[in-house]
Amino acid sequence: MLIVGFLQWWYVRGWLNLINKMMSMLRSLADSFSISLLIKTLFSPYKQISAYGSGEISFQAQISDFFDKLLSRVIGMILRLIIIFIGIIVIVLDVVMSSLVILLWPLLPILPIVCVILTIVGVTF
Amino acid sequence: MHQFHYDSLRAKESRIGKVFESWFIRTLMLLAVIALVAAGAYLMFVAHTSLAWLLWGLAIALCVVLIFIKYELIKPPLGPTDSLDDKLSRNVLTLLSRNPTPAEIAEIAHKTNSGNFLAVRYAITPNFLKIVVEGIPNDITPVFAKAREIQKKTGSESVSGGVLAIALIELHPNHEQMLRTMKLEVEDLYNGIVWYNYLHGLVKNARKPKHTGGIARDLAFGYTPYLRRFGRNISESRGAAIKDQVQLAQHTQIVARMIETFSKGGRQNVALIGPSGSGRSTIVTAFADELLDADTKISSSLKFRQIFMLDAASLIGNGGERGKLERLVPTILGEAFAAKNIIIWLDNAHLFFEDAVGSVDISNVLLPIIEAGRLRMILTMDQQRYLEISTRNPQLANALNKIMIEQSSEEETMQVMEDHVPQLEYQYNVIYTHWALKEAYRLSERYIHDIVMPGRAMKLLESSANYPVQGNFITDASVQIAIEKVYGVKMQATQDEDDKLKLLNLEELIHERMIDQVGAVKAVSDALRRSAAGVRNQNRPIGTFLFMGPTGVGKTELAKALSEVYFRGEGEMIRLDMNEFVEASDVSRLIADGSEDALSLTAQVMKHPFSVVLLDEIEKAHPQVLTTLLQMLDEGILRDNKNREVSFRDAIVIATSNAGAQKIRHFIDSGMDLNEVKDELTDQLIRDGEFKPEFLNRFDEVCIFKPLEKEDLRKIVDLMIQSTNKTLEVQKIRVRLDDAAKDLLVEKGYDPKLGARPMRRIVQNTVENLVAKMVLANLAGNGDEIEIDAEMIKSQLDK
Repeated sequence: MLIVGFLQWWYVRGWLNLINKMMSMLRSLADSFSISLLIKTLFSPYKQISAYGSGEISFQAQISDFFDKLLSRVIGMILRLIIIFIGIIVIVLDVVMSSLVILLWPLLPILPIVCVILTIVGVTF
Repeated sequence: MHQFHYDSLRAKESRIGKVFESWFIRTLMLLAVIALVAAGAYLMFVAHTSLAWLLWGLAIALCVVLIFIKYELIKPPLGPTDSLDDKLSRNVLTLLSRNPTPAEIAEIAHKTNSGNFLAVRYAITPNFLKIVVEGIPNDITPVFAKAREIQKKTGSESVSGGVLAIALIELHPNHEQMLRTMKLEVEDLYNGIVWYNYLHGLVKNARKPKHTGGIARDLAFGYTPYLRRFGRNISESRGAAIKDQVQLAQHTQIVARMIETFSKGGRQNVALIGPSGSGRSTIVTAFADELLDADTKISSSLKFRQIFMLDAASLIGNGGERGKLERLVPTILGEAFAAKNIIIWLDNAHLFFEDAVGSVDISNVLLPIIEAGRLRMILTMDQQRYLEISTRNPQLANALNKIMIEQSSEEETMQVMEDHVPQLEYQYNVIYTHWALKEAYRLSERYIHDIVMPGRAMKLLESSANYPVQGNFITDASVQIAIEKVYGVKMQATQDEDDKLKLLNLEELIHERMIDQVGAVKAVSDALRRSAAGVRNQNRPIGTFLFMGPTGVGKTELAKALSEVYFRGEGEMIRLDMNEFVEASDVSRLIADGSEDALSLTAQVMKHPFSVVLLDEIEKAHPQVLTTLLQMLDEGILRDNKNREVSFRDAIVIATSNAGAQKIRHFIDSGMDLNEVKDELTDQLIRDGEFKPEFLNRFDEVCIFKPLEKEDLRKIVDLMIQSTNKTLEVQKIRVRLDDAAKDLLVEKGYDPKLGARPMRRIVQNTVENLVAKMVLANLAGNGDEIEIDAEMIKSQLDK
């Protein structure tokens, strides 16, 4: 009866729990890197530097404000792109690892039997 | 349906899980896995034998078992069906025997977390449950059936130990009576389960990951150096604690309205108007949590916005004079606007709109910003301040989106207290019982007036943490001690043996300093005894008495004696000479706020609710003043000019009057018994227009003081000499009068119209003057006894 309970858990609830855990980890990673937010604000000035403007109306001052803001936007974009790049790598790695674990999970209870067979067959490195 | 199956899969798994609960066994298994892997590696790569696979296989099998134990056996989830086997909590499952009995349930209940919770906070101890079990049939089926019922009623996920304990109690035919002796009702126990479930839920939620926007959240938003210097980031300080506080229905609605206001166009401000203690700051914190939670569905223009509280004290302290502040504030607000993610919170916003100590009126700076409505702002202030500001500055009031906050109900206040208890218990290392919470609500409602619920109950609950009893338990007694220490209310009278003795002998103690007037002394003593024993009406003052009689017969003296003997001392009596309240406009002085007049009746009673309140010469007060006092006499409540309820329910109210003195004398001269003519006398006073019937009827008792006779005065002389000796005790000098001297004093001091009043003067002019001269002339010194005879008195009187 306990074996039945074990199998029921391993192949149904346990597996689902594992998938949920992996999904939750993925969500936490996505939240930490907030890639969608980074994309939405990709061209926003970094830390709003120069976004306030000098308030002067002379042509020269406005040109200066424009270039200040442009520089701020470029710095912001570069920084965000770097974070997006690192984030994507980390998330992809997590997806790969999680998928492996999820796929390996149903095989785990069978592996001891495979090992016994390998012992009997006499496989060595 | 209500059958327990010992051999069910969940029950078996739970029992096995219990064996592996110990981390030691699991650590051993883990070490075995590591050893097997290492040994397998050796066999494979050094000894080159296929036996390595066998060891690795074993290691994998052990790993699988370990995972199964950790994630399933130790914490088996509830089953999918509605059967008892699927709904019994894991703790109960591991403890139940094959054929459980009610007695067994009583024994195992407190071994579970919820059962222990009830034992500690509601005194549902194993011993109590044993007594309960003796009174119910030895049949487990009704216990489980009742438990399922309770589980559903309380919204519990499982049938826990606590639920089973309540089921046992409810099956007892006299359970209501049994609980009453513990000042409990079944509903209280249900609430206990709900409280436990809530705390359990908090622990579970704390383990869940929280999504708050990540590293990129603030990259697009600006630097705020000034704001950081003069404000406090509420969102940042919440950190990982988001949504960890109880959400009252009213607060949830207000947060929703705030989100709606800030999501739409229009003026981007919210003014939370509510009295102190109503939870204004809690609402702002809940709003901050809502914005910070990536999972909530709110407008992207609000998501991850941060709330900065501007600190008025810091601003005014650094800003210095008005001009500097008027330049600083726009800089800070400009910074907040440019940052694009800031919502400014002006706590106690009135500090920015009025000129006073600690506040500066900068409405000329703030009003255009609020009216423009582009910078998001939250303003919190109390209703009174808001009314004052809106009268002074209607333009500002019109520019604000007001949300009113009401004080919480009893049920909500209990919820808030239950929510805060774990935090207080952690801070003070104490355990709160259910009665402490109930008492905190009851007493704070009655005695704390400066803030409203739930703040006032929370304030008292926290104060009581300093007075644990029986180890580290905070009970109703702790709360009573706290209110005694902080507010001077006497709550513990009947628990103190000295006080009990004092109450039983109150008449004798009062007569140690006043003569006769037995009826009045008995009336006040009885009222106090009833109050101490808890048999009085709790919604009225301890006693309300009208003392009537001629001057100098002991009316005021009795009030003083009472205050001296049982209350906080004669000097602490709250005394109002009502001849100072002869105008209708004097009502405002009577009920003035303590900050305006510390000696107003309401201000004094607010500070010292457990007092003797003496309203001297009540007949001289204006009828409007008497009308104001009606509610105080009737319900023990008087509203001050700030509309706060001031409780007189722990005070003894004594009004004195000389009205009808002539009539009393006439009755005495006619040889009539005063008790028999009391009604006639009061009727006469009403006919004469001295008092209105509704006023006289409000008193518990009208006591008639009879004029003093010569024999009474002789006793008064003795009391006065006693008092003089008490004063001289420091110098170890004693005064003794012979009988002739006393007779002479009585003869000279007796005035039927003025009672004992002239006697004080006579004793002062004769005895005290004599003693003073002898001391100064070195005729009497330390340890001497001065003998005074009639001749000496006479010589003084002749001078």
